[in-house]
Amino acid sequence: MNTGWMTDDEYYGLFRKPTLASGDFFRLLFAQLHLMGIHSIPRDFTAALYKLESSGQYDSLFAEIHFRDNGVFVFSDEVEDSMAEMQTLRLAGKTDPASPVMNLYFDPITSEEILREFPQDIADAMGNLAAELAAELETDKK
Amino acid sequence: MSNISAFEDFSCRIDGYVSRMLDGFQPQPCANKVIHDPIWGSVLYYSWEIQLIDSPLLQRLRGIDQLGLASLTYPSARHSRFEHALGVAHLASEMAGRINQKSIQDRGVPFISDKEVYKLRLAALLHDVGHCFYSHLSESVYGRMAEFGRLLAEVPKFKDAKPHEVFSYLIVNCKTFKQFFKEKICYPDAVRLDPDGFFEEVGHMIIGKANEYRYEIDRRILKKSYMTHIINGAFDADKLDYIKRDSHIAGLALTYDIERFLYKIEVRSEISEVDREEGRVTLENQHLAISVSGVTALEELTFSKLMLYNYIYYHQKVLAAESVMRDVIHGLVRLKKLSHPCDFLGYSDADIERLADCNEVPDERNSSRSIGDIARQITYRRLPKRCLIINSGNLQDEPGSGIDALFRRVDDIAGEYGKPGTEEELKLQIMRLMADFFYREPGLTSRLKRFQRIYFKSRDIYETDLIRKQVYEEMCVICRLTGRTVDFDMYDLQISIPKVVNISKEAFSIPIVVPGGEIRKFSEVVALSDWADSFSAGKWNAYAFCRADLVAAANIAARKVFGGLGVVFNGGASRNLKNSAEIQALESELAVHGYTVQG
Repeated sequence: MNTGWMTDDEYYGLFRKPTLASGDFFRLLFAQLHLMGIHSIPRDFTAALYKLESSGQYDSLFAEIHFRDNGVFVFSDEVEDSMAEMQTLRLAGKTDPASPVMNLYFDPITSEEILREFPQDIADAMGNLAAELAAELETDKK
Repeated sequence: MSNISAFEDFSCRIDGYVSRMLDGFQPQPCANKVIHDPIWGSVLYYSWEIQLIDSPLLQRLRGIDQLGLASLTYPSARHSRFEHALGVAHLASEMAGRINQKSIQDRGVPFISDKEVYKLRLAALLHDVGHCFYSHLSESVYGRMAEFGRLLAEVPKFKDAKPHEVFSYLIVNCKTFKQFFKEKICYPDAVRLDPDGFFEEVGHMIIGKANEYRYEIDRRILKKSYMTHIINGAFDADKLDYIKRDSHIAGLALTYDIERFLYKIEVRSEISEVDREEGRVTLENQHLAISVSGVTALEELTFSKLMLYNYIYYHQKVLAAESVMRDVIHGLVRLKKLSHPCDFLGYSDADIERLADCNEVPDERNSSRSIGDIARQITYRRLPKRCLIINSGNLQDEPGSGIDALFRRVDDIAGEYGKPGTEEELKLQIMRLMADFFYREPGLTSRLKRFQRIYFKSRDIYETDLIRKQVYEEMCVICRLTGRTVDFDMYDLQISIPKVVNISKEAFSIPIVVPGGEIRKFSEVVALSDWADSFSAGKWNAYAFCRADLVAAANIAARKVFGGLGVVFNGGASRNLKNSAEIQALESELAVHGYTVQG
């Protein structure tokens, strides 16, 4: 016997739907990097990403990515979780475990497909973020 | 929606919950007590801790199994959050004790004061009071609720915390608890205790935020990160306890050298900010670190955690039981019995098990079964069977892959080598080729890539339900084609896509003291994180589960639906199951009707 159940709309409405979940953030970021011709990045790029987040320019993109400063290093559970996911799903990985560099195993079809999953404004904003991140990582290298 | 903030709403609801819990409870004056623990032996608890341990807020944790439904697979694993909380309190003071021992040797005085040790132990005792029934399983539902999202958006310091830690913070910081503690618990120095400031600090330690103290004399801010790191850090007392406890009580031979580990922890002080004009320190951060000679113990700890996932947390039967229980929880949400995250605090594991008698139907459009019908599957361990395993070994290779093709292309590029001005370009071509090869190479590298979209979408409850519904509808098509009766519904099928295990986050944040006193990241000292990532990648499985007599139809239907989403399986997806012969027979029967899995 029922005391009153809810409609599907009511039910699914009870759960949150982030504009850009942390896993999607990295799929989109790496797809954009791939389309820019960048096929590898440092495995530990949290500090560079943190710098961009701190600029406040990309708040909407970073809504689900949080950074923690333990006083010595900046780290982020979301970044690390997503990197583990990217590696397990073979979107990224290393050829040499000792190398600090991680390859992005993207191809044009996958990248374009990922881009199409998101609204144009989000994809464009991520394009800008990817360009800034690439510049930031290039500066770090020097 | 009313115009009160989410924080006010949650605080008010939590306060009501704590009032109900503490209603009529009068802590009695008592002496210190020794409690025996199977892991840590005889442990002393202070009188005020005993008063708190006896309170309904902590006693409630006896009704929440530490490992949720794992006891359906590991029968002895029935230990509760209660003994874990006691264990964490013991280990927190052990960690503080070792830090002090070192400090007394070096400087003649302890580093952590008695009052701080009391505070640490208190935070440890209370760190899990926000856990709801079946621990992380219910957390995965209420943590995704829109109301919870509203709270996180409003209170930035909650964003990094796990949902149950947020509840613990709110419980210890609610008005009723603070009043109860100040008036009824014989805490040392209770008269001068400022409950607001004190419990905010305790709450911060629980959610993993470091407390800062301002010193007016030299206008310096001291950040006592080590206090938080002991309670909620990369190698905290919580992990030290649950890794030993979970494995030991489940009967698994996992271990790590806790003694060595405790000897190797230390507090380091870093100057984070300096006022250059005045030449003085403005921010000093005291954090926990581990000596490089303790790295092996840290590796053991990390490895044991990884193995716990393989053995227990991600055991296929545990995932199957959790999928069924998730249906019970979502059913209760649909029936408006759990319409707000705070409602989850009102139930224990036993309360949920008692729902086996509940005859309310939560989802009449899709199934006539009641909450009790679903819950009885858990009560009597009638767990669904695996009908599809999704991993890199069961997915189809990409066409054109293979090492021969790679070598041929490397030969072509090598032929060009030596021509003026081509070196950089050729290096780039080789790099791209390698990346391309690893994208296409059979095995771990490429096969799961097609699955990535489904994996990420599965974090959304609606998307997972959609796939489940599609597989169910496909099963109906199969039954109609082969003249079988459709005597099942959507709830006879479960899709379980567990989150990828991540051990690297510890590796990337643990400060290691190397010879010379310099601080390095754990990941820079050992390549454990890369190994752990590869290991996890190879072990990761997603599943479809169903009623035992539906395995063949569900396997074919699931492969068909996933195929439509671009995920193509190889023969292993049906061969590696116990019912492979049955699946093959049904597939042949369907072929006669022109039905193929992959079109």
